[in-house]
Amino acid sequence: MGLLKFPLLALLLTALPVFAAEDTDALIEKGAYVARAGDCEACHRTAENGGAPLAGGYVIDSPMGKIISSNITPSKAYGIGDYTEQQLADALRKGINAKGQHLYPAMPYTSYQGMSDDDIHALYVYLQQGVKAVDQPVPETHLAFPFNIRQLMFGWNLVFLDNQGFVPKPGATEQTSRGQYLVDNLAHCGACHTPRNALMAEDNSQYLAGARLGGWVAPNITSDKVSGLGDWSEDDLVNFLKNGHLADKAQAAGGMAEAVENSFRFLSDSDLHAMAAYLHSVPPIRDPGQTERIVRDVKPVDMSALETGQGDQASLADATGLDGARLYNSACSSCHGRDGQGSADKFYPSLSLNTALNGNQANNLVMAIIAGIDRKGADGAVNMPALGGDLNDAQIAAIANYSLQTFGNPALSVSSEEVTSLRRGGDTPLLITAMPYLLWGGGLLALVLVIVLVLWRRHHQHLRAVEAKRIALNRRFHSN
Amino acid sequence: MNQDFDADVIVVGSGALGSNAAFELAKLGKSVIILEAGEHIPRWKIVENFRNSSNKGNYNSPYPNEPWAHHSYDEQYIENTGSFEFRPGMLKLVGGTTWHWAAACWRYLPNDMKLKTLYGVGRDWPLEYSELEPYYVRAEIALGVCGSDTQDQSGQGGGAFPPRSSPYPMAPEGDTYLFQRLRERMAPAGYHFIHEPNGRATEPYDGRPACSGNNNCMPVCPIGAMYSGDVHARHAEQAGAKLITDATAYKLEKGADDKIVAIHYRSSTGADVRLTAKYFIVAAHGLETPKLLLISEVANSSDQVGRNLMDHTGQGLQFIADEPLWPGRGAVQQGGIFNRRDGEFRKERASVKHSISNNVPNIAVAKRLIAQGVYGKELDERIRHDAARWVDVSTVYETLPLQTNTVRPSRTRKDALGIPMLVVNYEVGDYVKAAKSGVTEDYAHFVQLMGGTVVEDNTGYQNRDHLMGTVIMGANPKDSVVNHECRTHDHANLFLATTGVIPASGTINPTLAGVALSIRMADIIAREV
Amino acid sequence: MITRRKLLYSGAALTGAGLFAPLWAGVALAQEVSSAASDDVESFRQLSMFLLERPSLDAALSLRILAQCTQNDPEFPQKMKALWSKVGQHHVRSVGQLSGSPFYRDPVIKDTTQKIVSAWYLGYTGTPVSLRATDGTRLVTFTGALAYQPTADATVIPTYSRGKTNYWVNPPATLAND
Repeated sequence: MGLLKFPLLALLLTALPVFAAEDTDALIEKGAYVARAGDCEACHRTAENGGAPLAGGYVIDSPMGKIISSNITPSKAYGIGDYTEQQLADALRKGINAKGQHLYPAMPYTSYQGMSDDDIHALYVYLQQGVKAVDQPVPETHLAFPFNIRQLMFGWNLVFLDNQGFVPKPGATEQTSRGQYLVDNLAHCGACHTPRNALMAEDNSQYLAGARLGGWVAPNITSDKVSGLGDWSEDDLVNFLKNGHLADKAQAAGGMAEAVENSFRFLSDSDLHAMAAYLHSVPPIRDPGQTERIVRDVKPVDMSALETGQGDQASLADATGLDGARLYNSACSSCHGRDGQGSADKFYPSLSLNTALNGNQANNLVMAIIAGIDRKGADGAVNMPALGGDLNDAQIAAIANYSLQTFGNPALSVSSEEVTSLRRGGDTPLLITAMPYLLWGGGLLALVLVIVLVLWRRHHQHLRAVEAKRIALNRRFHSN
Repeated sequence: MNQDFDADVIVVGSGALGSNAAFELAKLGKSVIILEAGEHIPRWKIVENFRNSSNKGNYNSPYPNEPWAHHSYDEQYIENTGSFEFRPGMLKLVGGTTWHWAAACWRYLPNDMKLKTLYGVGRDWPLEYSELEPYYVRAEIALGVCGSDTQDQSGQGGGAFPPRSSPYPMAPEGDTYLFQRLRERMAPAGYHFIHEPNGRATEPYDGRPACSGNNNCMPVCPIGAMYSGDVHARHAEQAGAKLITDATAYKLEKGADDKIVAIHYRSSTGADVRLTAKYFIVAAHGLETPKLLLISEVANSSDQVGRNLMDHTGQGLQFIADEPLWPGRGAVQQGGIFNRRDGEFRKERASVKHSISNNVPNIAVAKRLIAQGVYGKELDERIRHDAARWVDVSTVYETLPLQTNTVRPSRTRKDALGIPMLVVNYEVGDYVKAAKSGVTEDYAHFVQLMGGTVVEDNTGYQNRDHLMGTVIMGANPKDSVVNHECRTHDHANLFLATTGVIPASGTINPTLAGVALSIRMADIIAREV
Repeated sequence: MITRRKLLYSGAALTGAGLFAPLWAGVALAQEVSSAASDDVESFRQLSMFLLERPSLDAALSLRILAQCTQNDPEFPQKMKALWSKVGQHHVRSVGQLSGSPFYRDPVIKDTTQKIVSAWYLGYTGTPVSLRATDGTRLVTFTGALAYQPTADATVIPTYSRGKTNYWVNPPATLAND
């Protein structure tokens, strides 16, 4: 009996599974959080709203052409089901996919390069085991020449891809270090908020000082008290990121609304505080020429001049008016108030205490009118309808100018032509407008080089021939 | 697109029903032309027109009344020969009459659709509730309807009813304090307060913001939280449909084997255009649709076109309650008392619905006090006192289809395009009159329960703008104009997308049923085109 | 509305090359001013302040009401001044005493009073007719209609919002005293 017990015990002991030193469920949860913080869904979503998570197909309108996000569900045929963890890490840190192709920096690998091994591991487990595989292919990305030559990214990366990994700034505390990791790496704030140089790489001399993004402007988020976030408290910043708005200050729109909806509203309070603390430590950069933020009082608007009765019946169908005060009242005041004061509960923002109007540019004001705002924050969902279809460019300029004069920074103004341009996504970067010239110039240069090369070779051959003759002659004359 | 035709399908009218049908067809790749008599007017302009209107109670006043596109309040436009002045609110612009409605989105009850079989009066619908149910679901998604998944909408205090295969797209808005207090004090007497499912977003939906109680659903929602037909006019255009404004259809042209081959329209610029299509949908609301058929001399072998005109003829009650209830916070209506929505009594008299209005009452309140000679500070105090306690009940009656309630093209009046205008003959029938005493009884009871002082309890019969019956639906081609598909019996390629097809009125606003039928007919047409 | 994540970076600064839109100019009420004699204007103003028990009233609206009432009835200025002088003659101290005064029984006096008070409170002149495309009414004001003032803390002027969805589930804060 005793003898029988022994083998049984031995059997039991050996049969005890050696658990991996990791708990898969916890890893999946952590990986999901990393994916939220990195906001994979913002680009790797489907083309239509409400599609399967991370199934790809969403079209990013870059100036180089349409970049289509890939399927990063664990589908073996169409997604990353066959990826090893190293291959995921290479995609995130080096911008190289499992086929060895270079990714375009629409994928912010220049930011993700700082991700920790732990985070990548958790993300890997989440993507492989926590996401439903979607066996749907997405269309290939085809950019115009020369951007379709992915190998060119090798050279670009040589110059612009920092592969140091995460290095905390001098004087970092544990909190600001975590904040820096989130801001610079996972949440890749600089991808929007740092302006880019001529070759479309982030210009670190203007770190987080703001950038234009196709009509919208990602504002200055340095610690400058006038141009940046220096006068926001840490709680202000946390609430803004979480809810997408801050009463009597600002609201997230465009790409930032998406970032709040897909990412920030899910982050922990301690992470949001870490980001806020870090941002407060970032060197202040003042926007050129800006000395103050305009603060306006709410003044009652004289309605007797606007409420003058109807004209004839035909006039009721005439929607061509260009009077900014009248247009503001008809199109905007129902929510923002006749006096621009917003609603008493701050649900509808005030326009006289609003960074979209009192800063040093009016792009975001115009874009909000054209495109509206649709955003889910931690405290609920909001929508400002898009009015671009109901107002022409001159009317939008009239409303913007009236609003700036009456509620915002009266030194700003907007022209009808600017509205036209903003509707189309703003100015095209130099790299694109210059590209035809660069190609021609490059072609000419190549031609010149070829000609020089040929001539040089010919000359060299000639020299060699001459030298050979000289040696031969020398030999003849000096051989006796 | 087939070169032999200008389009696969031509839709007359860009209101909620026509635009939804056009959108469904365009989504499936069919070429669609929508003809709209009126123009495209953006929302902000209508809001401006409303704010500048000197008669805010006139819900048509923010909309242009053009000589070639009259709205319904133009005196010349509808001539009434009956003793009731039938004058529904009806508009002609892109998006149609749902620019000014209160977005009530009810489903008909199964019993509503079997009026003849169950109660021996009126007519049955030629299809079952279960056949229409999936289309109610799609219509509710299209319009963005919020509603209760648990209430007995038949008002009998039972479980969730009628049956639903899918929950409402959005949860209902919160109950107003007015609704809460009325229910608290009146429900113990047995009155069932039912939330009205409505097409107002309660969260951002399809590019529309959530309702924030601007209290102006009628005549225009200033922010677009409330659904209006222009939403689907836009969707249809984005899906590839072509929308032609200032295009009043005046003739459906018949061709060989009783098919409609072409439609003729005129515009205020003098153009006269003929367009061909494989299929035609007339979605010109309950008065213009039969008129077009009659002046074209089509689809009327039954002699029912233009007959059986029904509205939910109604009446109203205003009283001042004994406690502040504060109407005017939230949307203009939210629900009502449904006890009389169904029952055996329908063998003898009309079913009835009482709807609680939630309009800001100050203008009516002030008018009454000034007429009583109240001025100065006292007037301000009394306005506040009375406005806080103002209860406004809007009642609707079920009506029966009568052969003699008709709409006809006028033989004497033509609009600026030379197209005949309308003649209506409408009498309130006995079925309604038999139900009036019940309403009077209810009114007295409401006032008593709320310790009220009556302001007005005998308004007489009123218009309610729900046009039904004029191109009536039925199984028998001898006594109906369209079949259950809304396909005219006489012309296989002519469909009618209008609440004018509805054969049994019930007591509920018919728009949602109209949209459901329009989506259904688009499915049917798409299989054949 | 789908917002795309755009990667457009512009080198061009927002120049001040935009048109500087003309400042909104108030609508001239010249036509209304010129049609009213200045003593009519002053009497009407004072009468209105008496009837409404307010120390001041919007001057533009005052002119507008006077002009519209005069256009509707050329004798309105006389009727209005007659009312005002009766108030003075009979030493009617406040409007609360008006309906008790013997001269108030004159239908012209009563009608004039109600026309004036209605115009200020309801925001239009003339008599509305339902179910007609147009009628003889004319707009005086919408947001300035005094009928909305007494409940301004609790309800909206229609079309203008109050706040977030579902604010209406709670009664106004003043409920206990209403």
